[in-house]
Amino acid sequence: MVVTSPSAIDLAFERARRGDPEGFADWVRAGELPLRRSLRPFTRRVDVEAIVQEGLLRMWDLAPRIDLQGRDASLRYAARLVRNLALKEIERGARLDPIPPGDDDVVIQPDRPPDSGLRRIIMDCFSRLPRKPREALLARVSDGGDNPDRDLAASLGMRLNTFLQNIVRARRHLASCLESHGVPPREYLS
Amino acid sequence: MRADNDADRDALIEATASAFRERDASGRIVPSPAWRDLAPEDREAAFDHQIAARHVERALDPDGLSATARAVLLRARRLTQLVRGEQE
Repeated sequence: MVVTSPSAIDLAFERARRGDPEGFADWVRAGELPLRRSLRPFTRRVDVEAIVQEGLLRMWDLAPRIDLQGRDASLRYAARLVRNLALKEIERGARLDPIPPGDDDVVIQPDRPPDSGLRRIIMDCFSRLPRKPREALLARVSDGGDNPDRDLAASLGMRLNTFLQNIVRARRHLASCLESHGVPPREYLS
Repeated sequence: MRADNDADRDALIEATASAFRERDASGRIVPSPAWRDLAPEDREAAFDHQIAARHVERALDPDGLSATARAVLLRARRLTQLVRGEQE
């Protein structure tokens, strides 16, 4: 019999099962991006952001009631959950396109620990942004998805479209700055 | 908002990168209106754009959390408080 030691995400999920919000935060930190990437086949037909949020919230709700076995089992469970949510959303839209092929044996890995070097470069590039694009992007980042863009724009005295154009400019500056530091876009798209 | 030119298209894609999502009467998280307005190929661009945005948010957040993670954790805490309030 092979006994595997629990992974960091297994330990975080165990804490979430006991109702520990910090444990759930650790679980989300390691699981969000792999779950998002797993939804790539559905990109054209569902708003992946909405599915990821719904799936993560359901994991918090379900955690105390599910007992999972095996390494990274909670992440594999969550991958099946978000896939089913995406399929339901497609059904709701009654679209006629074929559904992507099934994938019952989900292969998914927890996110790797953040690259501190990349983080430092992003922070440095952010600090060099022109004022208005930086303000707009900072408003979006600081808000953490709690308010719509129109409210964030109003708080900065900008029209919604101006606010969005400023964030677009900010991202272009960031991408260019990152590339000047030798960080190609695929590094932060992966 | 429909994309008539590249600037409008970029703004629409950027709008989908927000982690804010409305909810319907049942509490279900609903798709972004900007996402609905995107052409299928632009939805693929929006997907990559969201991943890049989350990396930037994680880098800038002191706790290393993306806006998606923060939105979900805030909602989870509110739901937990709601349930506890009902139990008391």
